[in-house]
Amino acid sequence: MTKKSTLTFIVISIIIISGIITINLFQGKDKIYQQGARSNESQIEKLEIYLKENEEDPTANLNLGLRYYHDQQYKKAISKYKKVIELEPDNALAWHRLANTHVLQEDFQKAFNVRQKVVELEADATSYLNLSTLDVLFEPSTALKHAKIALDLAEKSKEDNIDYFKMWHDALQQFDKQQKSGDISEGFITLIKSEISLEKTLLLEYIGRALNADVNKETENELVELRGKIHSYQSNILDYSDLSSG
Amino acid sequence: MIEVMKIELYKIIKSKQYIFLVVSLFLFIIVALLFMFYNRDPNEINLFSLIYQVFAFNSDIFFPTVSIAFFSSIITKEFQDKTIKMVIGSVYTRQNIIIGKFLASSIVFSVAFLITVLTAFFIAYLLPISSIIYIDYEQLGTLNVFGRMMLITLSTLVFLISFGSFAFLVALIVRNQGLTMLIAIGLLMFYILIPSPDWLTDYIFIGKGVMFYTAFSFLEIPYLEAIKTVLVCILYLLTFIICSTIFFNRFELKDGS
Repeated sequence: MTKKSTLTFIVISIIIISGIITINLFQGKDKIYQQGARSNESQIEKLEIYLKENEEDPTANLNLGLRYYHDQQYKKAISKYKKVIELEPDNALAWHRLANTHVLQEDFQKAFNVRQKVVELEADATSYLNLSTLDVLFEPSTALKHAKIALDLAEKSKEDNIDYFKMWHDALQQFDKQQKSGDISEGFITLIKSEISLEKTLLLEYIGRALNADVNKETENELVELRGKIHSYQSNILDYSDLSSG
Repeated sequence: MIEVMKIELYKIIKSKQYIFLVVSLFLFIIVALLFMFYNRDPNEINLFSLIYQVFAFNSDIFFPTVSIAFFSSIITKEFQDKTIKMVIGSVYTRQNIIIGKFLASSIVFSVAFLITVLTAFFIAYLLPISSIIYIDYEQLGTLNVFGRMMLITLSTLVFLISFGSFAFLVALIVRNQGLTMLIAIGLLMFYILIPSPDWLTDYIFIGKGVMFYTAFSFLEIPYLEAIKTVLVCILYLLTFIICSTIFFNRFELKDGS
């Protein structure tokens, strides 16, 4: 090794080691796996500080609401979304996130009302699909109609996941028939098994509705078992395949 | 050094050593891609999770194994074909020979890896996936997702080349392809199977693939941690190359070649 090469190696190594030491000083002892959660907490702190002086910033409020939502601080999330709506009454994203939060709080009536508002503001396929998931609880007769609109809009706008809209539409078609023939529990079981990703709380509500109707012992056991699996599932959003696979 | 590098590049291409590299990388990536695609609900699959799974499937064992096999073969082939004395007897310095060989191997490896991964991106894009982004990534745009994929690819490439430099050194010492692979893969398996203390995992180059695909899957990317890991890999890479150079110089004196 020439002296020049040795010197070059030493200089490069010192630069790299200095870089590593500097990064260590900056980031403290956080591990990479902890940083996702911690970054959410630190972002909450930063946004809270920022909003103390910029209370009327809708984007920051909306962002903080989402951070609270991910941190399962639903009441705080709702207050932030309401603040955005106060500032910008036509902010469809704020209404949409407000509905998501109400669903996770099991406040389905409020979520349903908010979803209707979302459709008024942003009449796209996803808004209609989301509305139809709550229609089945309050206005079952309109659920299929809204799912059809969602499917038509998805086809019209050439959405990537048209099959997803079609799958939900087909499930609601079946649900509609079963409701009309008085087979309430089977109708909800059709929706549960449709493999559409739904909020945990909404799936539990569907199961509750199915159990409240007339069910045979075997189906009742199946639903109770499913309810147990949903409770133990960590994610807030899941579908039937998540449960059947594990 | 540039001259040596050109010669080495020519040798790699002429000896068709790159074919094994491209075929094995392609097989591992495509098999993982299709396996992940057909084993999940098509309505849930998205481009980012698919590519993430490809790296998660391969970065721990398969990619490093390919890297070990390729880099060690560059050295052991010279011993196997008994061309090492010709190499030593050439007009170039030992240091230039080793660094030139390593740089040429790294270029071929990088090109093969990037082409294969980009092909996989393209195939994944053509697959009937439900969306580009994962539901939790709803705030991200397509460009952001592709940027993340490229960052995973490039950082994994640095990790693989650092692993290659380790195999390069071991191959120079043991002069046998099988034994080199046994030692390098053995070390890799030991690291994976035996839990290591935190201070060690932070500052060792082995098993860093998992860091990259994990880091770039977070909504808020921990850039500092990713940069630190890349720097650790580069530091090891430099150290192994310097050790290889020192060893190669001693090797000349020992053998009297």
